[in-house]
Amino acid sequence: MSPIWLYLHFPNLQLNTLFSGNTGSHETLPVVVLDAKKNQVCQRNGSARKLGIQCGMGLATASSLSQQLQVVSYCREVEESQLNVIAETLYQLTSDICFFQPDGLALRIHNMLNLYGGLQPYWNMLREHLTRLHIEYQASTAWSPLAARVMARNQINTISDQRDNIKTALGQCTIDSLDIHNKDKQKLKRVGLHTVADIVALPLKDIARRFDSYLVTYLGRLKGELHHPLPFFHPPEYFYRYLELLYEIEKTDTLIPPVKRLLNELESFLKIRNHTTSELTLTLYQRDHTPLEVTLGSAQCEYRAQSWLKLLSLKFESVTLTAPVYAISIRVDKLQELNPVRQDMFAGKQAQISTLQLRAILEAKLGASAVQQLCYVSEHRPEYSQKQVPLSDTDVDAASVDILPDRPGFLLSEPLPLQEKVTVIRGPERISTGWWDNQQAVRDYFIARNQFGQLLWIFRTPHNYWYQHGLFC
Amino acid sequence: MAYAELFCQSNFSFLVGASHPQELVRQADFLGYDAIAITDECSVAGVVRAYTEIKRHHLGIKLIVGSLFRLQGLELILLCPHRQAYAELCRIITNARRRSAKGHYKLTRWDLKTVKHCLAIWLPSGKADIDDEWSRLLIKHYPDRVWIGCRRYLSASEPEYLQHCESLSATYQLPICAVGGVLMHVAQRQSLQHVLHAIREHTQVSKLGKQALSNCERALRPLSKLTKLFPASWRKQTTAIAAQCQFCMSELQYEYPAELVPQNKTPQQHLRDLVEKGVEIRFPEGISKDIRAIIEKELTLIAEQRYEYFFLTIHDIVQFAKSRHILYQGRGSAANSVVCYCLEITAVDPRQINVLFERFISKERNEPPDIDVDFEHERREEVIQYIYQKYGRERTALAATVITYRFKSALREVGKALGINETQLDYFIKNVNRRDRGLDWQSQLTELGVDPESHYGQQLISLVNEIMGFPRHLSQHVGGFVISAGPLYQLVPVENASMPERSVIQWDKDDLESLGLLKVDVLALGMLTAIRKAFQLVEQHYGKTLSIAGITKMKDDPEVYRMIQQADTVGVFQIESRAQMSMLPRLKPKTYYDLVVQIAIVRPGPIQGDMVHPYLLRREGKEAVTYPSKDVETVLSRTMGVPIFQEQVIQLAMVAAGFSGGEADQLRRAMASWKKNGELLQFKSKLVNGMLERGYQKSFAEQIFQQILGFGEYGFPESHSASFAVLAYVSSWLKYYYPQAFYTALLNSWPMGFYSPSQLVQDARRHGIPVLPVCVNQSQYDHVMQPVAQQQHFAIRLGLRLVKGLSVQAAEKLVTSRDPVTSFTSMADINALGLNIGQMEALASADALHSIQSNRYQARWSLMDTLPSLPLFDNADSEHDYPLRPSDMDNLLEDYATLGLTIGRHPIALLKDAKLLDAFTSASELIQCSHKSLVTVVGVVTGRQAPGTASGVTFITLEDHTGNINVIVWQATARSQKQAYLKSKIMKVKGIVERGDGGVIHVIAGKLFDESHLLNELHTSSREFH
Repeated sequence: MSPIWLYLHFPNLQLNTLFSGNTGSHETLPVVVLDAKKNQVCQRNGSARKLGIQCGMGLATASSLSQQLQVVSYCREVEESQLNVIAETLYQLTSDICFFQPDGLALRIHNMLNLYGGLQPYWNMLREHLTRLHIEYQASTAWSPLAARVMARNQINTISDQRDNIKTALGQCTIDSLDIHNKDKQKLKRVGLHTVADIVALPLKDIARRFDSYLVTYLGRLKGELHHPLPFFHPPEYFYRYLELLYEIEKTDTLIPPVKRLLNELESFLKIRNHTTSELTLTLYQRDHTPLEVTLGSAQCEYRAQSWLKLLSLKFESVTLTAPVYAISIRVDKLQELNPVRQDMFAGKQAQISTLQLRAILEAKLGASAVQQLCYVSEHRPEYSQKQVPLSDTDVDAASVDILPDRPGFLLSEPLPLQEKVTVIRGPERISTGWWDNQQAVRDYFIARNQFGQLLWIFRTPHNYWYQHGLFC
Repeated sequence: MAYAELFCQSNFSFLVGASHPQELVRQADFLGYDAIAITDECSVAGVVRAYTEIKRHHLGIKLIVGSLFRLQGLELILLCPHRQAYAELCRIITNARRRSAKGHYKLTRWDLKTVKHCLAIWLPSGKADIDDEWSRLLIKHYPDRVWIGCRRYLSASEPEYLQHCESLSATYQLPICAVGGVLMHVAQRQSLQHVLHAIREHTQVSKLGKQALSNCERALRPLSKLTKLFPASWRKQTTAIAAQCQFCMSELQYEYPAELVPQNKTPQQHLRDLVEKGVEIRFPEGISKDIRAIIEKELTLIAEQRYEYFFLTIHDIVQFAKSRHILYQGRGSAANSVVCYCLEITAVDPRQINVLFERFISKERNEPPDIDVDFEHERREEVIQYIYQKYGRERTALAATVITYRFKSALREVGKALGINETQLDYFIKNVNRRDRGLDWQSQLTELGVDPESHYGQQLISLVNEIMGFPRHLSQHVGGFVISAGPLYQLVPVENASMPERSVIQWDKDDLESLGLLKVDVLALGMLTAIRKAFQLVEQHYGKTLSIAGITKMKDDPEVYRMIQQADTVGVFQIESRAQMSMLPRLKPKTYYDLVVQIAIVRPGPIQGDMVHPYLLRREGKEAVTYPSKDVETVLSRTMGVPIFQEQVIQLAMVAAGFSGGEADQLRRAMASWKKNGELLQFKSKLVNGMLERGYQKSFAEQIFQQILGFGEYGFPESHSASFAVLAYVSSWLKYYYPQAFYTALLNSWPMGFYSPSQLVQDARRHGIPVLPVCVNQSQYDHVMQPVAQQQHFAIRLGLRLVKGLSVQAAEKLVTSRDPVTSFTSMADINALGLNIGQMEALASADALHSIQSNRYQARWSLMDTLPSLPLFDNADSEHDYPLRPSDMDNLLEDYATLGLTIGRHPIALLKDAKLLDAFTSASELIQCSHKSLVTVVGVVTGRQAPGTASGVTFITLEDHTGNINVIVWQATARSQKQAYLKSKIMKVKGIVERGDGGVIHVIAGKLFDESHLLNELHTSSREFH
């Protein structure tokens, strides 16, 4: 049987992975994915298209066409991981899947056709799966993976095993869509060759005299005359999904719907493999903050999305977001067979624990952010000159901050009005800064002694009010 | 209580100081300081501004010149007690700067040891070991000239530091003086100082932490406060030091290079001799009494002002250019004098124009004479090298240009310092249209989502506002040379420019002007190159010798003016732009002076000042020419009572509002920079009241002030316009009488001017000049005139220089190896040239091989073949014919890609023949359309111009196969049809024909359609002017 390859091209892969809570507004707001390196729009949704925004357009032009334009930075990793998800789904139907990173998959299908009873039934089945993923695609079949790829990328959606059909369709494709060096594309165009049909009409030996072997090999593979070795996909032994949110979410309960979507994917992942798991890690990516990891454990191995969701809603009660969440991910590393042997829950032993162990336990119980230490901050305003940071926060380098000798060892959390008689022994030190965060401090600080001989750190405001702010040891 | 501030950094200590020098001296004067020293770090770039401010406002404060230096833990301020010390300071700054890359400096111990005259204020570091070491050096080398400078900022560890200073003072017997270490003129500048600091550190204000100033004590503080902070003895030292500093900037006298005058002559004599010699050249038939009288008057004026050397310097430079056959033309206030004509600095025959030198150079205005000399743009470097060689690098340098924060840079940098992310800033910057007159940028930012009520919005807006106009760094002036008699570094510090082998002084042209120092502007002008090339072609092909002076001498030629009146001026100097062209049929210039007016009137100044309409009406006799007084008449009579030139406005201020010469000069400078500092408004009451006192109507006074505002930075001086008009006339003359030479010369001088080669070639062909394609057997490197059919008729043969990707060397090799008789007959001949494959392919695709190969595809295909390059196959043309032939469309695209133009069919003609276009009116048919009729036009977008003046109007030029169409797009139309407006390369416009005065035809756009998809690979990049 002659080989048939099916190629799936996902033109808006990153855009399609953006989660939108409300699909209605998703369509009305123009969204583009921007390739920041080239400063060019590389994907855009329907309403952006309607506004005349095109791929390859600069950000300036695009944003001048719409004031409401939502811009997302292109991220290859997002597409790659999404491509994995698609491959995993399609693996149920076809075993031979090859990746064309970051946005395409080639499927060797002729060996499956007998099983499904021909190309059309197979395609129908595949399409059903694809529809469920809510991802735009272009698909084409041809005699070689490269030929199918070129056709799909040219938006020629030909699902056929007839050589003549394929030949005609492939012939229309432009030189630009071939995976050859730009230099060669230019050379071809400059002698009037614009389509695949133009090139194929020329004797291969004439081309070989003018181009390097890469192009000749490519053309051979395109025509299906040369073998094209490709590595096939093997499904991973863990589950990982990343989901970028279209809107930043600030409350945990609004996070439930997108998380549910991932849990559903987890459920089908586990079901296909006849597996369950006892632990999953949910990561909440917060704007300008370190991602928040929520680890969920379940005493009993579980695969149902519903059960995990219940656990999660409980867990969310104790989770507070420090900043809006722009993306979420779920990771499961340990998979278990559906009917595992029960662990003996009463076999635990008690033992002495070290500080580090204690810290580890506390952090596990209360969350890493709950176990804190005090450190200095480079800041003139005393109330901001120290802060509590999680013990686990390693990038705090307390030694780097210059500590002035005339700063009290003990700083009041709130300055108190000065209510006793004192004698000033040093000062003033004038602090007048902090305009940028609207917490301006204008004060003259003094060191003073009270009647008990205590050294106080006091300050005066421009309106001549006196406060105590600290105590020297 | 008396106090002198001896340590004060202005914003010329870039990204450190947060106030302009002007603000500092004003505030210090207001606070009652005796003196203030401007001590920027290794720089005196800001002192002239401070000096000028004091002079302008007659402030009582004394200015001290100094500079701060840093070296290995040492901070030292040097102050200038007298001229010698100033020269010393300039030398040290120059040496430290010249050792380092642009913008940095490197001081050495040796520098410090050579200081013999400057006073020193030392700022101890507070570290005992370092300070001990330095104090020994200072005592040794600065006996009785060094003080310890003590600052009080009310910081935490200040008591210990002061103690340390006092003990240093006691140990080494060094007196202490109080210093402020001022960085801002008022405390309110603290936030801007923080922002500047953050910009310097590439961080955000909130992350500066303890590096940032902790309070506002580095502002100029009131005397009462200083009294509390500093002991009386410390304060007394400041005034004692100030009293020693007697140097004033006015002492700086420019000393001209002596070698310009022969030893046994005075400069006056020498200048007179040269002028007399020039009289013989310029007036071989003898001169009239009038002209003799003018010459005498001018020479007297020059002698009174002692400007001989300035004229001699320029004379020397232009003589060099003349000897090298480099075409040049002088312009500027002094250039249009008979003396300059005789010195051959300009070619404006004074009999032609009847301009008065006095009008341009005025004693009472006391402004330095201004002569800019334009040279051929391709050969200016020869002139610059001559100057360097003649005067030496020590004695000549370029003037600086102060690069300041403009809106975009201000918003970006302030935004970053406030922690706004860069994509957001990009978004703001790209979406704020500074040209939108209806909405200022503050309101536009609000529209883009910045809440002006919020803390953040207020900060952003006010800080951006404050930082605009702040200097960022010094750059080099385009061509302003300062040449001196002795080493320049005794006059002003010199530093490295970013261009290798160039050095710049620390002052810009305004500073030089304030000090009365002269600079010589050596500028580059493409049109001069084109005119010289045209002259050469005329000589070569017609045997006639032309010169600029010769053409202007022939009096105004009515035929040439007829051409100009019809706006047939593509390629002509200055009057070729869209706006100029649309004015020509209305103004109908008939004489040289009309051209002077034409060039100056189509400028934002007169347009915003609403002077164009009254002038037109009066010219056409539709409005009476009246003057409010005799005085005003003398100023305005040459422009029919309407002020058009910058000089007239200044003169009006003098005759009608009683401005003194000095005040008028200030007004002129304020006009030049008013957008930056808003200085003009302070003249309003003086001007209006002055005019009321002299019996003028209030409305007239207000109108004049409005016109001054409109003139602002865009005012155009008559003195420049007069010189430009000469070139405009000469180029028109050439276009009329020698069009082939004119177009060929323009094309050979490109890049220059307003139009692309494609547009020039289109224009040439519309004038019936045959244009022949690039050909390996016919073309030279340059475009040439080639005789066709009968003699005296020429075609333009396009040159190989047009072929993109073909190097000059390769083209020359091709031309020199070509046998004129046998020429190239096969691909093997071309291969034998040994050009690299890229160059040959460029020739093939440009269809330059059309005499050898049947078409460009075939040519290229056979070039690509790797086999024939083996000797064995040398003549084996075994290759069968290549199957693909280029269509018209293919040829068009290839032409644009390889040459940037086509002499084949116009894209619109191709689209029309391919029936891709619906019915439309062509450019040539537009003349038959009646006023207000509806039309559809279509063309390649070749120009998109949004002049700052025309409230939101964009002019779009469409080119079809018959000519150009002028489309006017109103702002509302542009806004509502953004896509087509912004993106179209081929545009279809449905609109209304508007026929203006004198037959100007525009299409007022109603609906715009982007038809680029029809030809989406067309490589005519439209030139956008913003």
